[in-house]
Amino acid sequence: MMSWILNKIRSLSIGMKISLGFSIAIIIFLGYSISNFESLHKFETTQNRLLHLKETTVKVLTMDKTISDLQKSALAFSQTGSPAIIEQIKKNFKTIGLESKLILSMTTDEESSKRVQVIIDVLKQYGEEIQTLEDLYAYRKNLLETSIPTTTSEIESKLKAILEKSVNQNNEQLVSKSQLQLQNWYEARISTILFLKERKYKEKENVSKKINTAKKIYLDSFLKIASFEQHHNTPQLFEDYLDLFSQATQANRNFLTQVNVVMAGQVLEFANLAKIIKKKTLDNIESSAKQSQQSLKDSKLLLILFLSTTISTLFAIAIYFNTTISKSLERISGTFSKLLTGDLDDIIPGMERKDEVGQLAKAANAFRELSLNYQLAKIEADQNAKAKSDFLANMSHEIRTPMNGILGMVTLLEETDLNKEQVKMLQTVASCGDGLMTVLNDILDLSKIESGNIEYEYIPFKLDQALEDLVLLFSMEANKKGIGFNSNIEIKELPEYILGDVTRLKQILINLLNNAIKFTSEGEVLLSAIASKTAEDTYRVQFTVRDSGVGIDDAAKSNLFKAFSQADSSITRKFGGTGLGLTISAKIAKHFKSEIEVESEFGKGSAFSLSVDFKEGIIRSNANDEKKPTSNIELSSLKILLVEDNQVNIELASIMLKKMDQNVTVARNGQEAIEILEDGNTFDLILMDMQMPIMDGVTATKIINQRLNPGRTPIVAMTANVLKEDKERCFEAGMIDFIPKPIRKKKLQEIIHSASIENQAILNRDKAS
Amino acid sequence: MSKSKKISRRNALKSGIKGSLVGLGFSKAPYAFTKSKVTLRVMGTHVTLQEELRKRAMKDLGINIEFEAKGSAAVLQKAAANPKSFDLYEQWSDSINILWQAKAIQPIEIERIANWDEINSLTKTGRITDNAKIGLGDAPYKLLYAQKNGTLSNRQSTHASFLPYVHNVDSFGYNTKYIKKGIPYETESWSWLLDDQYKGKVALINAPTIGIFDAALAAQASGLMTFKDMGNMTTDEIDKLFKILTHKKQSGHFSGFWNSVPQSVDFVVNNRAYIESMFSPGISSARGKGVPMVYASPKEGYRAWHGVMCLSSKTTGHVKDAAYEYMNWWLSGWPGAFIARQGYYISNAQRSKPLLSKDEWNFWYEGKESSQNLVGTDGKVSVQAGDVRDGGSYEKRFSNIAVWNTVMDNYDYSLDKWYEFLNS
Repeated sequence: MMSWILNKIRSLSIGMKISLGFSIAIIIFLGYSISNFESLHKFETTQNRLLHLKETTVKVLTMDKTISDLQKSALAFSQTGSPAIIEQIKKNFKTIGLESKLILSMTTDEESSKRVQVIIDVLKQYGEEIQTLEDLYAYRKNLLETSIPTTTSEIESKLKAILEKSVNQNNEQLVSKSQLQLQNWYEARISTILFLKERKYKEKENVSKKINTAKKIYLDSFLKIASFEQHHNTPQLFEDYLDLFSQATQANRNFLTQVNVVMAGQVLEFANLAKIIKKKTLDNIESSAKQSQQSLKDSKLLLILFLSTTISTLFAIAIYFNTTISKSLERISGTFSKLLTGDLDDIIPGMERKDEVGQLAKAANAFRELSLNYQLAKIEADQNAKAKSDFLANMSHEIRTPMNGILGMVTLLEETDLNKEQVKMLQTVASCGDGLMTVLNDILDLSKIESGNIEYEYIPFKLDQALEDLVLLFSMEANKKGIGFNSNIEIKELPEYILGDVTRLKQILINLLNNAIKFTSEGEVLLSAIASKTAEDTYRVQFTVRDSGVGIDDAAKSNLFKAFSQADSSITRKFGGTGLGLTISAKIAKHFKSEIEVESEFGKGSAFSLSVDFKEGIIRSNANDEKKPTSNIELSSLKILLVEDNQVNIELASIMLKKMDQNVTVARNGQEAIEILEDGNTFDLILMDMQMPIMDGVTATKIINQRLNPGRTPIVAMTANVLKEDKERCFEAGMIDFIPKPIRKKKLQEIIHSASIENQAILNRDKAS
Repeated sequence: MSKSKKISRRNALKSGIKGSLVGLGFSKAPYAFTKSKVTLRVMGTHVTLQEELRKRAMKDLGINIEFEAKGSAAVLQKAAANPKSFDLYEQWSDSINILWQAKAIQPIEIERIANWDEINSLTKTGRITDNAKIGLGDAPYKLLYAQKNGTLSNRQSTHASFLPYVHNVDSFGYNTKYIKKGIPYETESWSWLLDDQYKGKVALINAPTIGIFDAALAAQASGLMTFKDMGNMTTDEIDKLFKILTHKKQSGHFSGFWNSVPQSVDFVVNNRAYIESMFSPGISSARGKGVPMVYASPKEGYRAWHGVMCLSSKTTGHVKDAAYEYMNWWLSGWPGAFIARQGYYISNAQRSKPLLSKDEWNFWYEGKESSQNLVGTDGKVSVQAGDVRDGGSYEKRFSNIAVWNTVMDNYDYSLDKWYEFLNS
């Protein structure tokens, strides 16, 4: 169930998720508001109930007092029989009735309601008892104040009459008897009053005793006397009196029972019930107060609970958003960043999601697929380019190696005795070889430029010196061709050194000058360089090569800088060359952030110009780039180890070195060279080919420098691998110089010269030590 | 006796109960009917003045009957003061002296009571069996016969001051949820009413003629005092008793004084009292409300009461004949069976026996277990199968009478003392 819900939530869009989060927060707030409202309502209810209970309590207390008054009044009535008091009783009774009904309507709890109902029931009975009380009182009053006094006075007058008659008859005995009878009667009367009114209960016996005595006196002494016949109802009167006394006694009892037992008992019960209700009400007040406190406590607890729930829920929502949205977005953006930097191996997170993040992930995935395709295409292209580049490098190497042989042999042949015809033939061979090398170098250059493998230097150089070299060189060339050569160098604005790649700059100018001389048959060629300062530390030099040659027509101009497209394909046949020169120059110029501009009129000559910006160059050391004199070098005889696998090269090098009086030992590969050295042979110089079977030159150099001859014998590369990276590999392995093939005699002499000096220094050092 | 207030179960019996049997019983009745439609005024308490009885009697006798039911004191007062206000008076034996002295009642001619001979010895000799105790106080047998000299005594004569009919014994009830059930006649004792362990949970009836005996029995059983004659206490004894009671009351021993049977039920239902003076209907009612009440059979004996039916001194002629018919009807069987189902006894029980089922007879009179549920006069089950009546059989119960409800010579004094006690 839970996972089902989570899955449902996961499949929602981010918008929906955020809405859901807010909804949850709102629901919690609503829930709290409602419960808080309820809690407040409960509190209010309790407070109202408290007020209500207080009112009820006051009513109960009032009723309690009224009940107590009621019984006091009842007692007062029993003493006085006052109608005003009975009215007061009835009024109080009514008040209690109303109060109890009011309390009943106000009472909310069942138990108290029951008790109030009991009060009402008892009260109803009490009402009847009040009526009974009045009846009983009236009856008693009638007996005590009417019946008994009537009979009493009747008896009294009778007894007095008897006494009088006895006195009249002068019968002392009768007088005595009648007096005794009267005395007993009086005593009975007193006892009656004491018993009935004064509650002298012991007097009760006296009444019947005295009356019976009096009665007996009459019966014994007077009943037989005829003259007393009119008084013979006296015993009956006594009996009547006893009856009345008995009735009065009962009336008294009934009345007292009514007041002191029945009504008092009911009042007692009222009081008890009122007390219970009062207690219950007070308990209710207490419990309500407690409830009120509790509901406040609950409220507080609820608030704490709410706060903690809300905080944790919001926190959970925030964490959820953070992990599922924020983090996901972060991850997906990280993924995009990685994709953009070319890292395509990462797993794309959130692919399974159905929301916006999922869509982003899918976009990322699509992008990755595209990138992968692109990368594959690029790798393929790179591989193609590399194959091309490798092919060129190999071709260069494979051409250079026989060219080394050819040109080397030509050089050697020139030094032999030859007739004029032979010299001319040999010069043609040499020229052809040079032409072939130019073509080869151009192709390599273009290839490097196109593959982006060309390296540019950024070092200080003297522009005036470079231009001087060119002027010298091309003056000679122009002279050879019988045309004029002029220069216009205005570069005084420039500092002594400027920063740039002088070799490549010269390459452009040489190319332009070569072309100018090549395509000019009469007139002259002009090289001009005009410098100006363009900013605080920036200088601009405008180079122009102008000729009075064949010129270029407009149609040819547009293809001028395209590879393998001379202005006229016939030009190649007529003037020779690869037609790559301008293409290479244009590309180098572009690297210099410049452009070669052409002004030309067909048949009247052309002007090629470019403007290049330079910054000032600072030379730290004072070392002048003075060229060591290379002519007339005196070479000492050195022991040279020639490591070379190609037989022609071995022969060529051996001949050249022997001509320079050098001792040459040949090793056919790196391994052989190592073995020779391991045999204890020492050399002043090692000339190392790079590309060899069994062990190449770089590996051999490393081993020699590390194990056999650390830094003692200079190792110089002599190789047809002329690419920059080849050179770097040689230097990294510990070689100190580099002789490219075809071997130039001059270069070889320089190397041997350096080695001689070095060797001499070492010898001197060894001698000194 | 203040069995005056309404007892809740007093309705129903709308259908003629066992009509044929009643009819049979009646056909054998040896007295003659007065055919004229006279009206008989019966004054008394709610215990016997029940509507079912009135309707049945009117139907059986073909006369008009008016009931005037009031509290004991009120009834006695009215009857004693005004004999013209009633024809028949139904109350308790302790009112006989007053009525007789007040000449409110006339002697009943015994020969006009058809089943007189069936009336058992309780009211004739004072003993239900030879070994039975004669209770103290106004034992009804002492007042049964009216003598020619106008006095009342147990000496047999041709006239009676009252017709013996409904009677019972009372004691106290206790809630077995709070008080361990005792053994009848052995451990159950009036002393429990003053036992301190029930302090605050004891109630008494608010009626001096009754309550004073419950209290006196309790005080004597507790060993707090003795009486020369509990049925006629001296003022000193009364003083001493109330001193004990007042002391108890002031210490909070009593939780209340009930004025009516429903109130006594309310006390135990609401746990205001665990033990209190009780009447049989109160016990039944409380049990019906789920309170496990036991009606005690105190080893000191019961407080007994006896119903009396008296003829107004002013009633004569056809009405007097009707009064005799009504008196005879009461002893004819059906009313005895009716009140037996409420727990009361009739003086000639054998006449009612055929109208009771075997279980009813066994339970109510024999003190034996009922094999099935018994239905009361209100149509509700009042006795569960397997129940046994507290105190046992009729004979067993009436053989153990400690005192009869009595109006003592010092009643007036005790009345004042009672009032003081109530308000102490």
